[in-house]
Amino acid sequence: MNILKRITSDTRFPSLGLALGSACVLGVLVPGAVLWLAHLHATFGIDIHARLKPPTFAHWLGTDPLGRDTLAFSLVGAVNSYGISYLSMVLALGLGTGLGVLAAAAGQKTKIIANGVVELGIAFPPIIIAALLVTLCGAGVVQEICALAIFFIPGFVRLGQQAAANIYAQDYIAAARLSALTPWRILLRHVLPNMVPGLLVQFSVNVALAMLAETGLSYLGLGAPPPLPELGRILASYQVHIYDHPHLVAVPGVVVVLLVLGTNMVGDGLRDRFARQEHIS
Amino acid sequence: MFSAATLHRPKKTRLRIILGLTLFCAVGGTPSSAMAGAQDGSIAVGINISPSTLDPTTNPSEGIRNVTYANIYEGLTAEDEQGAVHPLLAQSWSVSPDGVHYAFALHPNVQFHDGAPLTCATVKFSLDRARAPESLNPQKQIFENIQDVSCPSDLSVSVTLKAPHASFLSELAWADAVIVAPQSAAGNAQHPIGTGPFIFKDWKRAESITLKKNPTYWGTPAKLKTVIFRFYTDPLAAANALLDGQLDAYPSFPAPEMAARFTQNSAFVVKQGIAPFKAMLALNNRRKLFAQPLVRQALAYALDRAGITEAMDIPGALVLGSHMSPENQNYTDLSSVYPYNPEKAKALLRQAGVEPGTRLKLVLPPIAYAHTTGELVAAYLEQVGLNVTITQLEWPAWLAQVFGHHDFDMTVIAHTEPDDIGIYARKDYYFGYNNPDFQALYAAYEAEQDPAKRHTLSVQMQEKLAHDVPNVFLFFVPRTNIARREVKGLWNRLPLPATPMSSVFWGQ
Repeated sequence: MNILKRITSDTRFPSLGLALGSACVLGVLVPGAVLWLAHLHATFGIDIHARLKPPTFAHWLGTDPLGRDTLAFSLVGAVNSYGISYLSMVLALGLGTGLGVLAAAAGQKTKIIANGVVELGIAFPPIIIAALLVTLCGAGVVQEICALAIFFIPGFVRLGQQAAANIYAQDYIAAARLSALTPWRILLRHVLPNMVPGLLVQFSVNVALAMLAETGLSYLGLGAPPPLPELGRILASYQVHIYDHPHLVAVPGVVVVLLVLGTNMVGDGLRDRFARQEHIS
Repeated sequence: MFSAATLHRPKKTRLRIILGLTLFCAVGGTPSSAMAGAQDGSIAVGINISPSTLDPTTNPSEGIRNVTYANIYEGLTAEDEQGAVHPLLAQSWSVSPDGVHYAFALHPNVQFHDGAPLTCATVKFSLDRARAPESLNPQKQIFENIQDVSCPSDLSVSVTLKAPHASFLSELAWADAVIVAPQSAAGNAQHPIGTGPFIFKDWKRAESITLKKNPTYWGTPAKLKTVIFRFYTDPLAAANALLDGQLDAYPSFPAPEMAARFTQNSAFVVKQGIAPFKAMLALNNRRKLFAQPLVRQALAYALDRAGITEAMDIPGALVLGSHMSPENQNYTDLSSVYPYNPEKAKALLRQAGVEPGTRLKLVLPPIAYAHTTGELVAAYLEQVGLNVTITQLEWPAWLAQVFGHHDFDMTVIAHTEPDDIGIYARKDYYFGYNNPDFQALYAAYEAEQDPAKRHTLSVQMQEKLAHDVPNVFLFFVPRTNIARREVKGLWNRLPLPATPMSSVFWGQ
């Protein structure tokens, strides 16, 4: 079955959340990506002599303490922050689910190892993991992605293990075994495809959480080093102006809210849609 | 097809708590009642740099000086608010006409906090320790010029210099020259023991240091019973701590952008203070690239220093052209030697054979002015074709990497010592400037006793540095001193990095 088709062309259950959520996320990321490409090797328009200017036609939300366009800078920061969160979740999904499915498919020993990974992962909050990585390897995008991924791997291990175990208990798997299909074939043809909807929901909800965690890390200076803009660091650098130019803090703040809320709504919308499809079919 | 288990929502609560706590910690700790200090004679003072040790004779951190100098430790001499040298542990002295022999008479009845008496042997120990080959003293050159220290009697010290050094008495007032006792010196890094008006009580790492009044102080006793220094790296947290009463004073407030908030608040008094402050883009002159004067000059042309100074957002900020700040009587304005000219910078870089896209590493200490300046420096250098990679470090890492191992290309740092142009005569110093002409000028300056001639030589030294740009000199900013209205006696003008607390009291 084609998962994309299930999401896009299924008109039986129109979902306002899914539409609104996608609009929020794309509304930030599409202009952000255009600006990101335009500013790939630039200094984001630093111009001290035009610092802290009120909104004009050229700068819709005015300029920031270094004379950059506040809105454009926050949108570029949003692309970086979202990209980092997204990549870290791809990593966590791959490693976590892989380990979980292996644990479900294989014997007791693998299960013990998988559970050990889960317990170990849960013991460390992302701030500690990030601080450790930054101390050992210095600050950077890769370190930040790894820190976030490590924190989210346990969730995917558990989910993958549970979902796979449930599928393995189904009659059609028993039937497949009786037809002498190899374990790999069963895994690839019957188990994994049926896990996709659940993982997709978990993935989008986790991207929203990772986005919050990423903002926290970069706010604390544990993210990628400047000049690469990230929403958390932008927020931190604007906050000294909270009394004299309060809108400055609001811009990256609202962008974070839009992205997190939008991603969450997409996740919830997907879950509802899959659940109702399930109910009917 | 897939079970309900796959739809189980993740446990978000834990992450939310963690994030919530993180944000909470970043914004400030627990509030306390305002003005509690006025009743029990205690005061809470905000400091920007959390020290990693408490011994100023082995570590250059400004944080150590802000807490310990003049409060816990004292030197033979001291400087007043105007920078004039006064007697302290040495109640008087005489200097031989050739400027080489110094005879100090020590104050009688001076005791260290552990009860040990101050004698000539203590002073000899301190000076010998600072000039020993294995000494880690950040201003070792002061002591390396000492030929001999001897003790004619218990309370008189005789010091012979190798060469006349006219700044010797004022340099003895620096925190690097405080007098420490043989039996406690090794432990000072953790538990400082000095002769000062306050006794070290408690140190919560990266959080606070508590001092209590020394009841048996040899001089004028302190007016307060307890002083708590609290450390803030985050400017907003510092502002909130003042507003919610967790702090009573902040002598060098880190976010002058927010000063207006306190000017409008009648509970606080905001003052512009003066202290030596020389912010610069320090260059590692040992690197082949920066050993070429053309490249250093190119960098000076590439940076819009007026713009960087404006970005500091502090009234009274000035562009610096050399290693001297305007409170110094020898200061001369050299800020226009290299005006902003990116085209000229590019031409000089081409002439020096520097490839466009050359990568430079900029390491930054954890302080607001360095972060802002660093980002701007990266932007300006990118405009002339240089690629800058920024690394932000914590203080201990910055000190070890830059100051200790000289492992850096560029860094942004403010020097806050008074009259310290002599660091350019030290070829072993962290930026590694080695110029015989400057060294000769400095030797002539220190050998000269006549103030007018010294002034001329000082101006010549400043001009030499301004043209040779061993470091790109950036800006001076005044201190923003914020305190509750009732707090009196804080020093507004500081000749050297310190927070002298013995004169501070709660008034009306």
